[in-house]
Amino acid sequence: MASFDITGPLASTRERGLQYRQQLEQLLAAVPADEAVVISFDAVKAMTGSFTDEFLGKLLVARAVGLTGRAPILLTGLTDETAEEVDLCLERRKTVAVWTENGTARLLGGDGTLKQTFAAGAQRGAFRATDLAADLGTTQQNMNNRLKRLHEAGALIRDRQDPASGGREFLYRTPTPLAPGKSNH
Amino acid sequence: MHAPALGHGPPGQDLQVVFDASDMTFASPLDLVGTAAWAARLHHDGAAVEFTLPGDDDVRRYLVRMDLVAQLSQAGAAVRGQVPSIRRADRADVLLEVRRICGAPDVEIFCDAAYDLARQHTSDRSAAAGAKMLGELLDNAVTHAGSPVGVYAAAQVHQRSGNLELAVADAGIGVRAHLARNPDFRNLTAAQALRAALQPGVTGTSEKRGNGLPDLLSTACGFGGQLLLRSDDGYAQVTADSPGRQFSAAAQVPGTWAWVHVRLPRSHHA
Repeated sequence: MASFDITGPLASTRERGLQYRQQLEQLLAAVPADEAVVISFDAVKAMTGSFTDEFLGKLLVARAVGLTGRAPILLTGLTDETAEEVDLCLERRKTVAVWTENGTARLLGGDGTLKQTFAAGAQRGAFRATDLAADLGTTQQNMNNRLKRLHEAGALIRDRQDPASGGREFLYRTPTPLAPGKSNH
Repeated sequence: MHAPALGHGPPGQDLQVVFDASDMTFASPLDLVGTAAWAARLHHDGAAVEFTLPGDDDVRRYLVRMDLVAQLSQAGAAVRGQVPSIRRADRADVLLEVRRICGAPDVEIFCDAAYDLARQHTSDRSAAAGAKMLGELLDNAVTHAGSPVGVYAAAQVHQRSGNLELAVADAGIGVRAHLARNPDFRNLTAAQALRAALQPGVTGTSEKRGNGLPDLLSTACGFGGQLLLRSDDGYAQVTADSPGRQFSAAAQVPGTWAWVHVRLPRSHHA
């Protein structure tokens, strides 16, 4: 696990958001794609929308289109207020992030459907599209589309499986922190 | 305070400007930062700037205590009148004196100080929200105003009511000129520009942004507060308690002035 700490109590400016984004992009370039990067907001009491957008909004959009390293990104240490700020920012940017705290994971950003899908998947642990499609009463095609979006945004990890019956299948799971490793300190 | 009187000295001398506060009977943080920004800009542009202190002793002492006199002197203005010698009791619990903000690091430091100020009177959450509003105003100003003399800011908590006042003023290009960089927002009056700036997604940049002011307004109204903006000859006032928003033409000011007034819920330790 690679860690990245945001200093507080406030994060106010786009300039600071840009500095953090550039540092995190360097960290992502150095971290393997199967190792999560944990961004800690433990010290942060409030973030302006401008900072959040310049830092997380732009970073996650760039990551989703392959402009940064592909390690999953996890957010920790958010309060209800800072989580709300991130949620609003990512909704506007049409991207998502995983907020993990005390063993539970929630999706920030995205719409209600994506949030519901992620929550159902997190509850299952490891799952296939067919499993979740049945849980949520939707078609496999729909579920594949949702899971693809979540995977591309780094909110889900998927491992390819080749079933004996032929074809291609993916086993999905939510990203979790692994052993301590690189950090921005 | 009267709008500065403009005059010309003898041939070959710079423009002379007098800020006559002699009749001033009340001053708010917005008056302070607006005056500081205006005076600094005039001096920067070559004017000989003079500030006449108020005759009212309480107001004069407030201006000194809030560091307006010090900021004016640093900006090159001559201060006329008796400058009272005051014992600078530690009022960091209610006052955040006028400060010149020159870039993002200054913004971060000032907002942290505002958070500490508000935290003495309200919950962590409300204090953070107050500092966040200030952060949006200041970040906007240092990013977009293009003011050659920086941005001026001040804050104050009214101990009895728990009301928080935030004030930010620059003497830069103004909201209309900033928005005009976006072809969608050319040919607006200053009042129209303020109205547009309070809508989500409106920006003078080519980027997908422009939500800072609308979000700030939403937060301020959530605290039952109000937002006042002045830019060029535009004036905008939005109050949580009133059903509408007021946009009009008013006396011209250089750059953009912003004032937020909110009611902070008391915390148990306040």
